[in-house]
Amino acid sequence: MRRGNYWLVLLIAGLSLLCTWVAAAEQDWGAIEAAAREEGKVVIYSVSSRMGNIVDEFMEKYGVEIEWYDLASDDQIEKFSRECDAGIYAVDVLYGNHLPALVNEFLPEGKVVPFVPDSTAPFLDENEKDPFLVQRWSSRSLVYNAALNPDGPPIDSLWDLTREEWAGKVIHPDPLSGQQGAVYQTILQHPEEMAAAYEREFGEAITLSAGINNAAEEWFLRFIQNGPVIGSSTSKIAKGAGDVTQTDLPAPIGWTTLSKLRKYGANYPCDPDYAAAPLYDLDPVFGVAYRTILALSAKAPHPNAGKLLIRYLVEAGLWPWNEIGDYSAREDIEALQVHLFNQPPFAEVKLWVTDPEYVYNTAFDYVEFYLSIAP
Amino acid sequence: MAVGPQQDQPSSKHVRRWRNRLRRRLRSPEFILSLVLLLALSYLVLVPLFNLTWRTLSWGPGDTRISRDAEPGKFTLAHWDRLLFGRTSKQMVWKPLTHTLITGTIAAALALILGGTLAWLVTRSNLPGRRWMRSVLTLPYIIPAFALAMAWETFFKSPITGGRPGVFQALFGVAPPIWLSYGPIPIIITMVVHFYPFAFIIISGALAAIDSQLEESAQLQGAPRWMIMRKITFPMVTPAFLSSLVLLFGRTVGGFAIPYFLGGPVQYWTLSTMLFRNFSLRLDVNGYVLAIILIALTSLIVYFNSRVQGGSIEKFQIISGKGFKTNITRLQKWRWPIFSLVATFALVAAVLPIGLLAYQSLMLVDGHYGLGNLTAHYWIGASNPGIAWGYPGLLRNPLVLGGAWNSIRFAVSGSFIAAIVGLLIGYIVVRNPRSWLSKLLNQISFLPYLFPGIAFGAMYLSMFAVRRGPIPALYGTFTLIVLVALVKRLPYTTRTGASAVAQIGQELEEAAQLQGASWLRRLRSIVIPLATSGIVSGMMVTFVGLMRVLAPIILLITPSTRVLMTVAYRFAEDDILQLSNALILLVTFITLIGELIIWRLGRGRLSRLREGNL
Amino acid sequence: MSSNPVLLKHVTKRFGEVTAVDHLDLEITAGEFLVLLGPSGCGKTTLLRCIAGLEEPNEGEIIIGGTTVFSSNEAIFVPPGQRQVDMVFQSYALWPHMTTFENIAFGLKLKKLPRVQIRERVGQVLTDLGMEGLEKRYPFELSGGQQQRVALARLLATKPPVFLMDEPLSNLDARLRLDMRSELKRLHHDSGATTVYVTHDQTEALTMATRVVVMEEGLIQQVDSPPELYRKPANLFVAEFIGSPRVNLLPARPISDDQGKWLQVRDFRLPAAWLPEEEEIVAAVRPENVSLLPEATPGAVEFQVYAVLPAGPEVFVHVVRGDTTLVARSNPLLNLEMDQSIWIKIDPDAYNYYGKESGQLLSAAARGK
Repeated sequence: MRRGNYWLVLLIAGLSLLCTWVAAAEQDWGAIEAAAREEGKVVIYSVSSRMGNIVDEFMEKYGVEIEWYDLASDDQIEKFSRECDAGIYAVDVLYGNHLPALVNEFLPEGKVVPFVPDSTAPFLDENEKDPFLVQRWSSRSLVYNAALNPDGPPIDSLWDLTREEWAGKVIHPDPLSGQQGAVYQTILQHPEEMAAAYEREFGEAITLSAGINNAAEEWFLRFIQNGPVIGSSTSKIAKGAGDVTQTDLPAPIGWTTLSKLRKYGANYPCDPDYAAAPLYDLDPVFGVAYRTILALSAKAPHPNAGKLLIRYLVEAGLWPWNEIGDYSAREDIEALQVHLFNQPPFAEVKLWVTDPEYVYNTAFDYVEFYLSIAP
Repeated sequence: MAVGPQQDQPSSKHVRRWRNRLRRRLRSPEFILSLVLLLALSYLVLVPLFNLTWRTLSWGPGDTRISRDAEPGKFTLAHWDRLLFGRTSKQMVWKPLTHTLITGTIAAALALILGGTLAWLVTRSNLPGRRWMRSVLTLPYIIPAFALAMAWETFFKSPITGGRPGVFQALFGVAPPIWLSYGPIPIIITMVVHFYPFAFIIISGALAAIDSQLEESAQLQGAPRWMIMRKITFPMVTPAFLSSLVLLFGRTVGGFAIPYFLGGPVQYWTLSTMLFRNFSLRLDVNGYVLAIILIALTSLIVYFNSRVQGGSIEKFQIISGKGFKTNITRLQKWRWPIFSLVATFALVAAVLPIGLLAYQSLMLVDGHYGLGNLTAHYWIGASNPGIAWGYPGLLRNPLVLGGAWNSIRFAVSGSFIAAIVGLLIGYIVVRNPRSWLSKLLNQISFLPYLFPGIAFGAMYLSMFAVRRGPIPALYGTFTLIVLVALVKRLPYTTRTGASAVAQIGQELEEAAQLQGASWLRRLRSIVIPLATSGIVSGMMVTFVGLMRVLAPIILLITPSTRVLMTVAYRFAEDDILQLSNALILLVTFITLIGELIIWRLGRGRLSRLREGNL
Repeated sequence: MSSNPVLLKHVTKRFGEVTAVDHLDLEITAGEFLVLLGPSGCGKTTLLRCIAGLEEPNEGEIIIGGTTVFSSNEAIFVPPGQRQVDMVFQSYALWPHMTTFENIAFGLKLKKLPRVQIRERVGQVLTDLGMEGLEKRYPFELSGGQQQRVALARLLATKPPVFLMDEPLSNLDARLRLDMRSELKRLHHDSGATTVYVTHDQTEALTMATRVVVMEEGLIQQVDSPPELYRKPANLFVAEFIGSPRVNLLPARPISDDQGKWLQVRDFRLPAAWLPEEEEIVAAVRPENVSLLPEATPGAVEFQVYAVLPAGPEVFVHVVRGDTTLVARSNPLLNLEMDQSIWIKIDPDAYNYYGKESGQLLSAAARGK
């Protein structure tokens, strides 16, 4: 990272701390609720269509109508920024996986403000409220076929994926698609850990190829040159890895959104068709976690209803998203999977967390690097 | 060259001359209309194109990530230099460009041949059941491209992506070779299947309008059948052929879903999928450069097409003033063999994918093919929190019902307006082949073809957010959605309009003109009635397109203007396959009904007359 | 019906590099039946379309019935519908989606005539043309001749003072064409409308016109009444174009000696009534002025019979002598064998002389010599 960016980060961090503090100091929920009822409506750009499930109960509880737009995170960014530039302030709340753009573009431009309800703040870690409120953590991680590997996971390190026996046997989403790009960028951000993992796996220090700067890049190079297959969606990858009837063994390792296991493995053997299971014990990590956040528009037409909705979405209104593979940011709401499927809680799970600054700033370099090693 | 006696002062003569010329121009509704259309298109097409181009020639926000010197708003060639000549230019541009050209050209050519042949069989031969065949053969275009690609994947599933064996492997016991599962060959085949109906619809329209007296007279002179085809029939449908080719090429090089699903797994990227990948990483400037390359590529084809067609448009006027007859060719002993071939094709290309979709929409848990797993829940079930996050069945979901109504409203009004605008532009282009105004209109109307959908919608959002002079604020309105879809479909509608007009002999209009019919009157009494069958085919293509349009409008949709495809898209993203499949089926069904209605309403007197004459 | 004169001044129409009509001046008097005659591509149809207003000339002026409808100087251009002209197209240009009645009534509806009047007028025109009962037919349900009549009826219905016709008979079979010629002539007589008629068929032109304009390469070659045109073609082009079979052209040198005036043609000479001044000329003589004699007589030249072409009341005989071929019209009763010798005699007064270089008719004013 360049020096200028450090100052920017510090400035933003300082500002946002100030904002959170100011906001926290002023949260009089009685007044907010009354004002929200007065506003009567709240507009949200939602990454998830499950928003529809809480419209009625929110109306019933607060008398406020939720007008929700079903928009992918990228589309929210595009729409919101165009609207702001044209002087149209139509939306109150942004809800999606667009932290990099929000932190690096909208926050400095003053288009959004962070908002963390004071009632929730005590249950959140620092990186879950700074600068934006995290509703839940999702993850992209590696899965294997538990039914076809009765003796347990066939691999124990990310470095195994660079071995010849796994050539063409790993399925991953397009490395140049938004979320998977962030996954590999996050791995590339951890060269020391990758070097240490190499030593643990092969018992010797790593030798870097020509033009490669560190162990993480070396891993990415070897992994990509090992011919992983691109799957066109995370569902298909989860199905492809988890299908118990496949005959071309060993069954492939898949890189998918963990929540897909809800349909393709978490219920095995009750559901006997799919047995995709997470590779929890992979060294150094088995995947990357990213945040789904809630942010308030700086010029929200219904600011109080917006605040009320944000609070609701991390409290009583969280239920549609408390699903396998997703972890609520609030530590007091236990993730469903921990309870039902005996999976590790978020604090213990081996995931690296994406760094929005890093992901945003290295995007061009990442594409260059990937394309220079891609087949 | 002295012309007539001149008593006037030269200056006053000049003034009078210009005044007369101006008055004449201003009194000509055709000229005024051309001017208005040109102005409107300039705003609707050139402004977005300029924005797009300027973004690739200047530093934008966030470009400090590329260069320390980036200063937003400043001119630079760095983006083009980086993409065209940089370290990864081969991966980013040149390889995708080659792939695009290979798949695009071959698929367009094959789709043209297939569509043309089927059109001839259905309109001009005694093929059994050609009336219903006509509808069935347009189905593959109504099925969304990604559904077709997924059907291919299901059938020719390769073990490299894991999962259960595909139908091919189940039938033959061996895995299909990779080149049959993924890469250029399946891309080309599915594209041909998806896009041939384009050519089919346009060429059947043209074939149906040929006066077979022309063919008969050649027959009387002893010309053999194939010679008549080559010398008479084929040249007369040339404009329809050329329009189809241009449209097909635009679609095949610009197509996204098919190359993404069938090329991605083996890293066979095309310009459009590469463009999508860059957008997906929010590197829009890279995407814009690729978009401009795509636009330039098809502009070349359009230019070539106008070179070929422009000079000799009169040759193609096939509705002459002598009345006409349509005859059909007897296939004789080939009748039934050809029928079974065509029917099998229709079954595989149209009925099978729909059947697959329908079956998948009835599975309680997707992937379980047992009978016990069949359910109508996703169609008519009440909300059940245990299934699909409590989404009710399609026909009980208010989102879907509202969306269906919006979709219909949107597609009907859009295709109607598009047909009229397309006819007007087509008229101007065809009837004034030498005028700069019509040349300009022709070129501009083709540009929106390859604008990346999302970016296009985003620009419209900015352009119509607030009132700018005479341009009203359309933010959040239904009108804006129709407008953006209209402009995006302009290339089709203009071309179908042009080929419809090109078929009408100019002397038919001149005869009316001599009797004192004004331009509008001619349009109403002569051109529109005679162009109806052409306009209707164009309208049907647009209707189908509008029912499915997604990317350009996704940013402009509001909850109250939601259309079916936006809902289906979200279901697919949420991995509720049954609901999204059911929805696609619903869209297909509504589209079919709509097509039938348009067909019935708009067949026009001429085609009814002709049918009576068969 | 009133009729309007049409005046063309310096009319020029270019299509790119090609000049279709080249600085053309022409005065069409009211009520005449003027035929524009010429081979295809001579500019006759373009000229007609310029008069109609379907083409805009590049230069010149057009005046119809006293109104300037086009002037390049003044940038005047009156659109076709307001020029008091109507046209019958070669292809008839019937609107295929309209019935006979609708086709004919179209122009009347545009004139906002009352419905009853329209019905009456259409009925009248159809009766005049012997087309009763075909009102409800569509063009494709009509024969070629009927379609032609509908096209005529459409023109007659609106009673324009100037009729324009672009090869209206060329799509009919030979018999129908003959019938229609007399009908059109009658029609012109009855309506009194100024008629401008385009054809490439010289017989059609000569039989129907009151005046014929022969055109070639955008230029007027000659304007004359049919008999004059036939008798005194202004140049070799017209001479060759008019008349069937073609005129005989003999390259000749005028010789005057004590025996009289002669035309020296290759190895023979023919007596002439007068001689032009030029050294080298082309003498033109119609087949009917060439007599065939069974035996040698003074002034006659021996030829061989090459072919005999009977044509009903007359016979055209092709005769040769060396490089010279002549066509003679003869009595069908004459019994001729192929290759037999025959003597031809040409009326010394019947020649037209043309300059060998200029191709122009050499003036009879020189006749006194």
